[in-house]
Amino acid sequence: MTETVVVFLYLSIVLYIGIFAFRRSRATGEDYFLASRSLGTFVFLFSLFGTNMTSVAILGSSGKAFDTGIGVYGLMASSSALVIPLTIFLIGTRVWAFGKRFAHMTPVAIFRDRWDAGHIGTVIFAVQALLLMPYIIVGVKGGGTTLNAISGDRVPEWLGGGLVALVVMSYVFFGGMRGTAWVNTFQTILFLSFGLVAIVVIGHGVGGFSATVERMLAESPHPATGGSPHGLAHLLSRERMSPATFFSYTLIPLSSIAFPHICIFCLTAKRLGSFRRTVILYPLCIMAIWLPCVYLGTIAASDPSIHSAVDASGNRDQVMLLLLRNNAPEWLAGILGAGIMAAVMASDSQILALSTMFTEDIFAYYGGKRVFGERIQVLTGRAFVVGATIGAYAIAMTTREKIFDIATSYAFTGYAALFPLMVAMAFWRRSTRWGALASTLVVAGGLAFIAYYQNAYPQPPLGAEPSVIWAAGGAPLLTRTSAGLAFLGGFLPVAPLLVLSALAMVVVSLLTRPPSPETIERYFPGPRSISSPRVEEPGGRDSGLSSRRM
Amino acid sequence: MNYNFRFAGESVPRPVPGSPDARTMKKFVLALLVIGLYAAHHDIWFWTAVRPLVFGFLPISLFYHASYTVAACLLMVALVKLAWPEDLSRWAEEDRRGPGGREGR
Repeated sequence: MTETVVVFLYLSIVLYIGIFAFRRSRATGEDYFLASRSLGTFVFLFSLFGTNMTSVAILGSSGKAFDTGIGVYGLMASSSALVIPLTIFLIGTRVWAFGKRFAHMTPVAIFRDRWDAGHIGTVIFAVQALLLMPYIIVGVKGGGTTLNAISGDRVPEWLGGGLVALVVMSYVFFGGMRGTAWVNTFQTILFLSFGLVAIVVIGHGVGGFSATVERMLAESPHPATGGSPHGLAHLLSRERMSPATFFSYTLIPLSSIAFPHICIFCLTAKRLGSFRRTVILYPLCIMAIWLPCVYLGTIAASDPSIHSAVDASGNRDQVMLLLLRNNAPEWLAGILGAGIMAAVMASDSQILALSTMFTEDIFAYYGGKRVFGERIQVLTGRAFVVGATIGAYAIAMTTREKIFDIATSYAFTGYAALFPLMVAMAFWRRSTRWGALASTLVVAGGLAFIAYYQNAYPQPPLGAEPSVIWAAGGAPLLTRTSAGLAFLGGFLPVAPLLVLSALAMVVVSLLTRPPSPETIERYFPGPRSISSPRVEEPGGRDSGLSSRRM
Repeated sequence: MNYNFRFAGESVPRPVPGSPDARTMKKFVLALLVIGLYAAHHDIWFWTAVRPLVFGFLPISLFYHASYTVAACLLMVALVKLAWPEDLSRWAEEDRRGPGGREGR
């Protein structure tokens, strides 16, 4: 009971922060959707990190580690620690600069301007919006699971998911980007503290980690594991993990900068200097949250009561909550549960991003802002927040797949495969709108292919041999594993899809006419000094002018 | 082709700091570091290893990846110190023509 009360108290604080932000707001689109591009270093770092960490970071990671072991850290966390800050450094800074200079508010707005792409931008919007929905669903579903587990089944999943969705919708509706950023900052501090406290409390509760690990290494097969001939020792190494799968997971973090909500967050920084500490501290923030969760998820496999509960519910994402319940006093489990809720409720910025994209890329682009004015544009954005949240809730309550798999199969894979668009936009002058369209359509087609085969072939049980869908000369080309589809004996779909998407961008761009020289000159100024006299060109555009091309 | 033959003992001119050659060299070294760190992620040498248990409870491959994360942080420090796109900031924030003080779309 105490745990439930603490979590409800946390939800009230979050709601208050969002409404407090409302009092600081101005009635402009740039203020509601981008907090007037005013976020300082501290809020920018924590809100960007908090936005990127969803229920996958705590619930999904520990659930997967429960099945797969410590390899999950290398699979998702340490690769993200290199790739995500690197993409923020290389591409996020350019997104910020393009947005600041040309007043863009969404990635599609940048694509449209950079490639002279009108309706092609609308196609990219549609694909991006469709891919963002599963990620929002992950948040809502995680909210329901978490509240249900924390309350000991007092709050059913449908009600928990509904309450979380309502709180998120309220502070996004009122506070816009400012409210979302402040709430994310508060949440990030909370769930970063979670890792440290959880590891100390649970370590004490299980009788010390050294003893537990030695027991796992020495123990004969545990009855609760179904009589596995390998016992639990395999969870402490990667002996059952395919190197091809491990490699392809390093491509997943490329999705981060291609996600519209991360891209839009890059536009909120007050100055470029705000990126410095974000880039440097990002890896450490990842370690602070992922290392305890993966380790504790692995250790949980040695607890027969957790095995029984997980087998009964079929929900691996409850592992961390069960560990807390078994090892922490009730009041502390409540505070730690609030930390989990903080990570779970990351769907706020995705809902806001979807709303920003709709109002900027569709409503404003097709004349709504010109006809109805900026006030109605903001109102439309708020109405969209309500609609998107209700839609995500309805889908979340009728889908039964595991959090990690939904997110990985569709959203992460799709956005990682859209990464070539970001690179071409930021660095490749010769890239064209047709190349961008081809790349986007390849990704959409690839995801439809994945969805079709995942549904057509039943999921094999965990640990069972994958079923072969296509084979050539006895070698499997395409298989259905318990985690999804795999190519060439272990590569995740993201690997071939990323290659195909990049090829489509390069080949089609080279075959089609490049953007106008004026457009290229605006985005990639010539090699004149930044301090040289400004040259005005016909049409009133300035040309200028960095000492280096960007 | 430009062949530069030098006799033993003859001094090789160093790139002047801030010159295009020095910048290219710096970018090349940083790119090598990034590629090297990415390659180091695939630690096949610890694939099946559990022992030694670092601090008595951390399997060696998990400790390796935790250390890898710290190395990624240090690499980011180097990138920020040595390759920060300062002129990008000036370019983005300089006065512009067009509506709202920004270059129009």
